[in-house]
Amino acid sequence: MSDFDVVVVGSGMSGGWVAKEMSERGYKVAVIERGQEILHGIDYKDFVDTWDLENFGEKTPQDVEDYPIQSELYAFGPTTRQYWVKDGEYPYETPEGQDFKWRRGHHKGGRSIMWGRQSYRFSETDFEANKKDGHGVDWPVRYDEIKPWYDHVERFAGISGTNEGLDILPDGIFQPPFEFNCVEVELKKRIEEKYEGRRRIIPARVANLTAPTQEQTDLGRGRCQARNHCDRGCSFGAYFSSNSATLPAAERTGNCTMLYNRAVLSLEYDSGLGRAVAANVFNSETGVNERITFRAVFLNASTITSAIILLNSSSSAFPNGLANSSGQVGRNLMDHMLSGAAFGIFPGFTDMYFSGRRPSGFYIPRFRNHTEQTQEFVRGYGFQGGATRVGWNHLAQMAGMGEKFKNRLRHPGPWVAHCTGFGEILPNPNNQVRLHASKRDKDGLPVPVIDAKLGENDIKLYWQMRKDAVEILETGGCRGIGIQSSEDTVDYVFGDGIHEMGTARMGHDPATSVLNKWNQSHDVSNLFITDGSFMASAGCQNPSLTYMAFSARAADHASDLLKSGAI
Amino acid sequence: MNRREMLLALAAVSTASLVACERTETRSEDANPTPVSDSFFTPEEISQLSFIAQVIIPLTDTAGAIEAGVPRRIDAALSLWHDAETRQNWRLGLERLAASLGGENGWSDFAALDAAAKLDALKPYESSRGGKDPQDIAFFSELKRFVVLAYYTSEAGATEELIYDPVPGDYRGCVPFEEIGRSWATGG
Repeated sequence: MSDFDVVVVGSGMSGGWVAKEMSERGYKVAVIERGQEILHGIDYKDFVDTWDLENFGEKTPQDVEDYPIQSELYAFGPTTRQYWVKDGEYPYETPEGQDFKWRRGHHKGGRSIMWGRQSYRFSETDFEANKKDGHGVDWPVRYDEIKPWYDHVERFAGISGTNEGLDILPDGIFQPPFEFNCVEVELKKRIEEKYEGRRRIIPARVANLTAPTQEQTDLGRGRCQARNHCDRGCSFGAYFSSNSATLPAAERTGNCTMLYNRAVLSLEYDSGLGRAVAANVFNSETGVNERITFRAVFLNASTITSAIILLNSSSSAFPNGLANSSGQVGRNLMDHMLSGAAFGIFPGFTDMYFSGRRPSGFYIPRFRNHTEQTQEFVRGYGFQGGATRVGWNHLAQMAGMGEKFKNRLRHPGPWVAHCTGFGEILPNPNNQVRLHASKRDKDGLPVPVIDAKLGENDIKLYWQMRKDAVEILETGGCRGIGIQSSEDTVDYVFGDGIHEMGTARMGHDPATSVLNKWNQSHDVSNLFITDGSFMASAGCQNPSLTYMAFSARAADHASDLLKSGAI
Repeated sequence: MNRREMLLALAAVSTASLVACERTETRSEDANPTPVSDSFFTPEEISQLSFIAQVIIPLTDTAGAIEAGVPRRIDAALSLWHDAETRQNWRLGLERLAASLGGENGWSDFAALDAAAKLDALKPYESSRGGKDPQDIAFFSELKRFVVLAYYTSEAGATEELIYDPVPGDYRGCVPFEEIGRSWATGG
């Protein structure tokens, strides 16, 4: 008799979904979370007024010392510090002359608390890409197959947005969008006219509730209050996180056990049974190792850690790491090149303002190698952006003091628009996560060596993406356009997109891929991986929605297999 | 029910109409609820900082830097959240700036100036062409940044000088400026 029917390793974006789907199907589920519990609402700092913020809301010298990598992020500050790992406790290494930015947190909900909430479907173009241009392995799934699962997760999570009828960015089940401000309306008009509809500007699709359903309010979730400090956590439960949505849904079934402060170090394989049977766990509260048995296991530890766990689980049957007969575990690490942030002043509309703080902006779906071809590179990029009026914090950087200065800051500055690219990185087996030969982190897990570089295609795409960001703002009527990086250097560092994925790709062939089309290991039938590891290509869309859809679908499939006794 | 519980209860019902109560509730008796700490600045330093801060953001129809508690807020931030090196830089920077601003009789000459003269005396520190030592210019720039930050995030700065709306409820993208009238204290 196993301790649990299903063990889910990690409680973040994807693990929460598996926990919900399996608990609701009646299985006894344990979610093993490496970090501490975060009590929804209680532990959030979303009601701290500006005058009560530590250090006026800015990071402190101590933060920079404790969190040198995490604290570089926009989403790091006194109200969000609790969601990021201390870099010294959980180090990683990169080869000489290379860098990687690994931003993450260990706590209930993982990065589903701090995520950017942008939610876009992959399109048929994305699922066909590898087959067509020969990079990576063919996705064993096409859009039609995953579409009902996108519907399923969007309905539950709650995504605000608009249906646009674009084949590059499929429509979905949306709650009403956040509206455009005057300048965005104008930008949209000018840009869509100039490019004759080849480039579109649409409201960002974000996992913020604008018209909650009964299912959502039953979970204690409410409408977005337009505060726009989602990364602190939201006591209204207005944006989707494991903490606000999937885990409460799992826990109310009575079938889900949350196990905190436990790091899974390896999975145990029984060669007689031909199955994984237990998770070896370090309990960081007691300092004791535990063994937790299961009928099926889901890895949702995020792609780098999931790969590390597999690589750390070698046995005579799998000398190179569990489920790694293909040798692809840890390889094909991808991210999105989040870069080319262009900004410019939009003249006029100075008699107009906005009210409320929108947790979103606009989105420009991929046009490169779709409506506009190039021979320079394959794949493409999308842009996120928005317009707002310059506030006191920026105006104050100008010279001035006294009453005139004070009066100036009482009024908002000009409208500014910005536009940031998200570029697709090709799967490349040389971009790889390996186990460090000797070093271990605080919990005893081998330290990852993260070895990833941009390829030729990636770099060509990067430069065009930057040019296009500037051109779009120019076409939209912006002036004085700048770009947040120096002229001639690639300012993106691998990992900056915080969309790392791909280290256990799915594919048709067990010889070249780790997972089958159901996110199930080719080698070990009761092992599933539904965090970003399974991604056979990265697309350019923010990936969380796709992780959710594949997680729900894999859970449904695993349930069928458990029921039939196949696993 | 304390404020925290009250706000959580509010969140639980997700009712924007209750927001009005919440705003009244957050009005504190004390205009500066920063945690009490061992003061870093000496009384003399606090006085010097206060004079300078009040030139940057004077009292008008709304609070100036002093009324908004800016010197105390900066003192608390340095005491609680900054390291010894930063504090030492402030001590040294302020000492140099005060000496540089003072006349034959020292700091008291500057303190005795009227508001316009104080402003004129500080202006050269904002420009590389004002003939001031680059070290003092750099320190003044940091001091001004702190004063601005401490002022506009203070309760008086956010709620009286600007408009503060912790729970807007809705986003409206195109609103005539005159309907709102001032800048939002927290960005869009």
